[in-house]
Amino acid sequence: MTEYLVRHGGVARAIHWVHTVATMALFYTGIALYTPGTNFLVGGPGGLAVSTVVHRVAAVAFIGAPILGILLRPQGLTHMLKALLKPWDRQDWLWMKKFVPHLFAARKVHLPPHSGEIKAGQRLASLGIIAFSVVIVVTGFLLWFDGNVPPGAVRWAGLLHDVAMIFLGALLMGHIYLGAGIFQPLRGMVWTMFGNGKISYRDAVYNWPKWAEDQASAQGLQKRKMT
Amino acid sequence: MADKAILFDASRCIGCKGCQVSCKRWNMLPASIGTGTWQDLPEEQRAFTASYQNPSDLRADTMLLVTFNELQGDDGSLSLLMGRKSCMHCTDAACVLACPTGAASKQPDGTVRIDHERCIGCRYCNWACPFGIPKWDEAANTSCMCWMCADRTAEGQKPACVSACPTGALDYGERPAMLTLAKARISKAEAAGRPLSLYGEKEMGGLHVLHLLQAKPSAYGLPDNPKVPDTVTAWQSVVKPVGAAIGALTFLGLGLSYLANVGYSKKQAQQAVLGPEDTGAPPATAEEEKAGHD
Repeated sequence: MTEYLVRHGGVARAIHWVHTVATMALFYTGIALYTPGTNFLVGGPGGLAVSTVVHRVAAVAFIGAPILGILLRPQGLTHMLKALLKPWDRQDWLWMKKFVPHLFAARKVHLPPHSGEIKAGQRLASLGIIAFSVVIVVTGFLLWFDGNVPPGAVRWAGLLHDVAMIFLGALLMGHIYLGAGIFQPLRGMVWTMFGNGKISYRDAVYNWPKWAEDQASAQGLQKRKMT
Repeated sequence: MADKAILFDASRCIGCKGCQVSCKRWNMLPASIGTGTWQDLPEEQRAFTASYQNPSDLRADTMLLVTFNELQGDDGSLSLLMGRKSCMHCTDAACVLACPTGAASKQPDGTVRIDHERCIGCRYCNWACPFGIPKWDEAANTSCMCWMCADRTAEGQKPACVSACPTGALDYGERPAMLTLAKARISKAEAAGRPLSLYGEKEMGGLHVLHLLQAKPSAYGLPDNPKVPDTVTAWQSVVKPVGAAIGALTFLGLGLSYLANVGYSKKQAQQAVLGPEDTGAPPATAEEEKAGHD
């Protein structure tokens, strides 16, 4: 019998769902401003005007979802920040050292066991995603309400909005590649966040052995039932 | 095709607004009344500006504006300087650099035009222009500015504003000829003790609307040293290519990672690290785990 651990709660999964849809909409409607080659994306009937509205509606959802999440479950934010800001130990550095070789030769290079709830690379990426998202949100507001902002500040906001978008985009490509299980050794993991929030004990041990051990006790799972 | 230009001689302008009206008439632009201008404000919100300038700035429906600028002399006396605010049709146009769709483009006669079919209303040109010229038409979701009456000039006519000017403050022709004319007037004015200065010969690589001014540019609300904002240059020459490279390299790297691991399943990966599934065996020892990870 396969046993499962709860990895993500309902609020976290709801925020992630909203962020996924909103981010896709924001990229789709925003990329046309970045490169003429993608102008066709916002063409079509009512395309341009609709895209402008969609971009702003998606932006509100992007900002609103985590705010609502914090209000509903403030301890979730504390828990997440604590896990993300955990000081790096020796295992983190070892894990990070092997991460890139593992990506290109998973058969030969295996990742060492990780002691935290969130892997070292995942922590770095998450902090980057949060930081660039904050820049995008702040500059996005300046661009939205440009009538009340000095032209110089609006120009800087536009530039930083794009710079943050580039780095966020690159991080999200990596996040999707690994999180959605396009990377073969992680196939199927996507349903933990997009499904019921549960992960098989074996998957958990493979990715976060220490966390799996702790949670198995906390969640009353029979230890070492790796099916 | 030789570059064309308008020469505005501020010393000849009487502020009649004939050019402003003519621009509206030829381009079929509505009056600004009823669209949020000073007249539409409630009485208590109307700040008394004592200015004939109306509307207060360019708008999507006002592509040319006669500006009324007060200049206080050293003796405390006031002078009224008439200015002209409209697209300068820069050689190094910031709007063209900033436009992500190519809607703002340079024309063979040196002027700049916004193609409303291609404009997506992003307002990047509004923010980029050092003169603050392009204005966003919210209803049409497009940016608007003077196009130097390209439909008229193509037929050998002068722009509507130039044709309407009753005092000869506006001239239109080939840019070198307009520069010659401007310099001749400067010489004449100097001889008469009423110095004029030329604005637009070198600014922004050379403007296609030249100004003869009686005072420093800032007295007319013009930037003394206009230039393409660094942010616009950085966006076009650094952020866009570097961003494209980062995106492409990330995609390529992940693609290579995928190809390198084709056929290596999650089951195999977990077996290599954790051992076989559900063996019913007791927990692995620390040594065994370590061996598995190595």
